[in-house]
Amino acid sequence: MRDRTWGAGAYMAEFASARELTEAVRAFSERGYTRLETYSPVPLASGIPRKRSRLPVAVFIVGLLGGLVSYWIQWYANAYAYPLDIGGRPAHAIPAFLIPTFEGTVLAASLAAFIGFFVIARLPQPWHPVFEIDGFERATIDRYWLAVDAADPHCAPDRIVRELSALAPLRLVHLEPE
Amino acid sequence: MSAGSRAPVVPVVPVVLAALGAALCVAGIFVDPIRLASAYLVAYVSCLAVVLGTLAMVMIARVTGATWFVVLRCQAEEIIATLPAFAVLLLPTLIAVHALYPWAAHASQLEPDVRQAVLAKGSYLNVPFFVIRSIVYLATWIALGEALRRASLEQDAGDTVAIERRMRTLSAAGLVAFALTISFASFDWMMSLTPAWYSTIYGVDYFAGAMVGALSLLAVIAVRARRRGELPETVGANQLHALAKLLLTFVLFWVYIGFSQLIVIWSAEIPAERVWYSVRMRGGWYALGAVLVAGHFVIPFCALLVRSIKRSAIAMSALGAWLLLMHYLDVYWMLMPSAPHGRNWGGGYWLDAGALLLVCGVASTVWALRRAHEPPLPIGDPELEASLVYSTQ
Repeated sequence: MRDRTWGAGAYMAEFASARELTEAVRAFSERGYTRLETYSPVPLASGIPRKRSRLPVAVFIVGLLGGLVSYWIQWYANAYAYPLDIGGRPAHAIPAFLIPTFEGTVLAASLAAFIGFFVIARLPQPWHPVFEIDGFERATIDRYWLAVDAADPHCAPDRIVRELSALAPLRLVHLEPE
Repeated sequence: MSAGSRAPVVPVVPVVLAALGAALCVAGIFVDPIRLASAYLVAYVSCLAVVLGTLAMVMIARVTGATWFVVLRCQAEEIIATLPAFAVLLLPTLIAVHALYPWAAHASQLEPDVRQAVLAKGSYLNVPFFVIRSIVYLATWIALGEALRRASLEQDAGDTVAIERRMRTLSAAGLVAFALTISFASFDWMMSLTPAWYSTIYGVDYFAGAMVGALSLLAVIAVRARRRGELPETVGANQLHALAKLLLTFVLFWVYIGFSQLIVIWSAEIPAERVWYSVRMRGGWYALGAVLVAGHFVIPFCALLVRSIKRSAIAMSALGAWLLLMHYLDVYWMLMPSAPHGRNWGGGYWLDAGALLLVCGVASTVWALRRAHEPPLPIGDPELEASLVYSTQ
């Protein structure tokens, strides 16, 4: 599947310090840019204000379904389809059913969280446009990158180059659309 | 409250409540002393649990170096300061020991199977040893609590790092001592109401409820302190959020432990083990059990899943108060069906109210008096700065 990231290309600026990057991010989000991405070797505070993930809602619903299915399958097998009298024990044994129900809930919820994260983060992703930039690997050592998606509704080619240059980055790179 | 006076004023509301409770209890001595003894034991054990849970929380925070908890630590240590009051409040239970506990009664009054169990356990379940153990428990808790409180006040004055390290060591050892004492205290004061029955998880069950009660009270008190300006502006949603997440954990822990005990006994279905549940699976006790499952687990669990509730002062304060009520009912459900005449229940609720008012009133009076001259923030703690700006984001 072709990656949807930066289908229209992107403008990237390289900085030598975390402070320059966070200031750049603040300046750009104040101007109204929304499709910003940053690359930094260390976690940074006060970055792009992000929307809260919807993943917890999905995890909750799938977990609930997992519990219901787990309970139903026990009820169906033990109490409905194949009831067996073992020592006079009740066929519909609620306390005993609760343990697999709990396990089923946890299993479904954690699978939803695991798979859901990969789907939302669009992983695995063996190739990304930034890999084409020479020296980009220093983003894991001592360089800080800001990327502006060219599809950002606020992004106009002339202005974006001017605005990024005004921040005096070490390098300014334009990733062309493929 | 007299104007211009700097002396600690007598905390009017707690004193009035304690006096009202004492009046009801005195009346109860003449009306139904045995019923009163049961009511008092429930009130004592449920209130003590909240204080013990707070003691555990302070030690856990010291051992783990929990930053978010530092701003709340003084509030918690002020709750722990009521432990000496609980040493005095134990006296009525010790006086009523012959009326409350079957093992302390005359052997001829017991049913054959109970008598056999009581005779077999006689070297442990006897009044002198029971009193000695009770003193050991309370001495341990008071010693730990006072050491933690004193260290916190000393930190305000000076050598913070050395004290921090000493308290970490003390808390680690203290948690071990705490685990043993709270387990055995619950065996002695609570489980021995049914001397023929035992559950090895009983102490953990009591501890789980204690932690829920402690974190609930902390939420209520933190919101109150914030509203009265005892805590600075920066303390708020983030610290409350951390507290609420821990509360959610212990709500789950409580139901997990309670269910573990049930499933083991239910699966085996051994008469000697199931007696404890048999009485609780009937009539009003069954209904109260259902109320606990809903009110102590389902409602708080669902509420605490919601992020905005965890960060809301009003919601957490209300939920805290609700869970404190549920905690009392939980202890009520654990003890009352096993209390003398507990099988055929009905009436006498004014004695429950009186005993609860007395214990709560005395504890909150001591709380108000002892906190009057203490700073609301641990100003000497090296982690205070970080704690003030703590964020769960």
